[in-house]
Amino acid sequence: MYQITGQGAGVLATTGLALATGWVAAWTLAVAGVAVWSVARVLRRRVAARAATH
Amino acid sequence: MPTAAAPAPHATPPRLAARRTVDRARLVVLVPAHDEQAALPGTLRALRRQTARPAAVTVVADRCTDATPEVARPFGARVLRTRDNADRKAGALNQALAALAVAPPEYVLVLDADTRIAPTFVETALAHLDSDPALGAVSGIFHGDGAHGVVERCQANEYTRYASKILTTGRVAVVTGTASMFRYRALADVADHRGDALPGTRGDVYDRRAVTEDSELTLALRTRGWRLVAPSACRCSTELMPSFPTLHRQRVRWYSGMLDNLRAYGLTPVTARYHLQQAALTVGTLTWWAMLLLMLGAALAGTFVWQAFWLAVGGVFLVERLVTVWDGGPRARWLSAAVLPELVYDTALQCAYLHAWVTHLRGRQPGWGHLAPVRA
Repeated sequence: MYQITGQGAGVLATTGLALATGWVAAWTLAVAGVAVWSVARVLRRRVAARAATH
Repeated sequence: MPTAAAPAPHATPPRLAARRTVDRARLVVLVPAHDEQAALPGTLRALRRQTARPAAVTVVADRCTDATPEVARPFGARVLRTRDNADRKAGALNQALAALAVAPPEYVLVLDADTRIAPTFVETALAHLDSDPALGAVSGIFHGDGAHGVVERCQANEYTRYASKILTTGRVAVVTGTASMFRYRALADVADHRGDALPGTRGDVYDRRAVTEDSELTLALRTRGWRLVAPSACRCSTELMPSFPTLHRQRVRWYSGMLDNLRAYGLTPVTARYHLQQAALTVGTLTWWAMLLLMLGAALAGTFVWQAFWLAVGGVFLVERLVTVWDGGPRARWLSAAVLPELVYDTALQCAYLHAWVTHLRGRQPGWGHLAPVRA
């Protein structure tokens, strides 16, 4: 069986935490990009609709 | 809560002048109803206010223990009672559609008994179906009008965003079960291909095993190559869940229903996009919970700090939330600007989504959760 020392566990936890933080940050930025794109599309539709009615 | 101006449910409604009447050969309206005596008058009244008023309205009374049939008749609706139906709304609609097969109309409008359609709904849907023979269905765009309390207002905001998304992308993810008009030929085409190219039993329009029959029928129509649209004039107003427990039950049913449907269809060119959406939803949900845990851990460890960059990213989300809910009016915008209520609401929906995954993986059917309407 593998045994993990106290120091090893600490390194593992820190690595896991860094990976999780990195993933959350990357995902958040990706979703923020989608949000910007979504806002642009909605605004473009509204401008087009307004132009069509005038 | 019933309003003072609303006529009593059993009162004979006044006949309203319509621009024209749509005869039975063109359109039949099917209203599946299970104990809907309180909500049904509003639905039938909205039908009578159509600029193109359907002459043939059938209320499909499914295992009703209240006065649903008696409420329907004064509105001129025909009442069809289901027989030995154990398949909920899908079974009720299959029986009603089978009864139409003798002399089928050109189009069928399926309308929930707690849904009110806008006055131009029928006229607009007919115009679209008449102008495009490849069009299989015209979906309604549902809204949550008359919301009371934070839970209902959050749902109304969610529906406003969904409507905005449909109008912006032009893509109909689901032909809503609340109110949609179908080309009868498209429904017959689906029924003919069940059991081989499509899941279900040959001859059934709706798959009896589907928990969410509208999303299943959408996949069936798309698989058969029919086009779908949702014009902005096909607006309808539907029931909102009054509390978190009722909302949770509803959403577990919706989410697990879609997961079941996707499993039944597998990965195809039609379903690929839906699978991708589910994957993104799953990853997004898990990431959100990971972020909450990380923030909680940082707060407990005393290492939590506000960073300008991430506050700016948060600002992007705030702007997106506001812009997409703008059409909902000032109250909708204020609720969105408050941020926290919608964050709690989204977290509650994610709980329902995780619950739906568990239900789906266990192969269980979630409860229907019929809601007794409180507003006529």
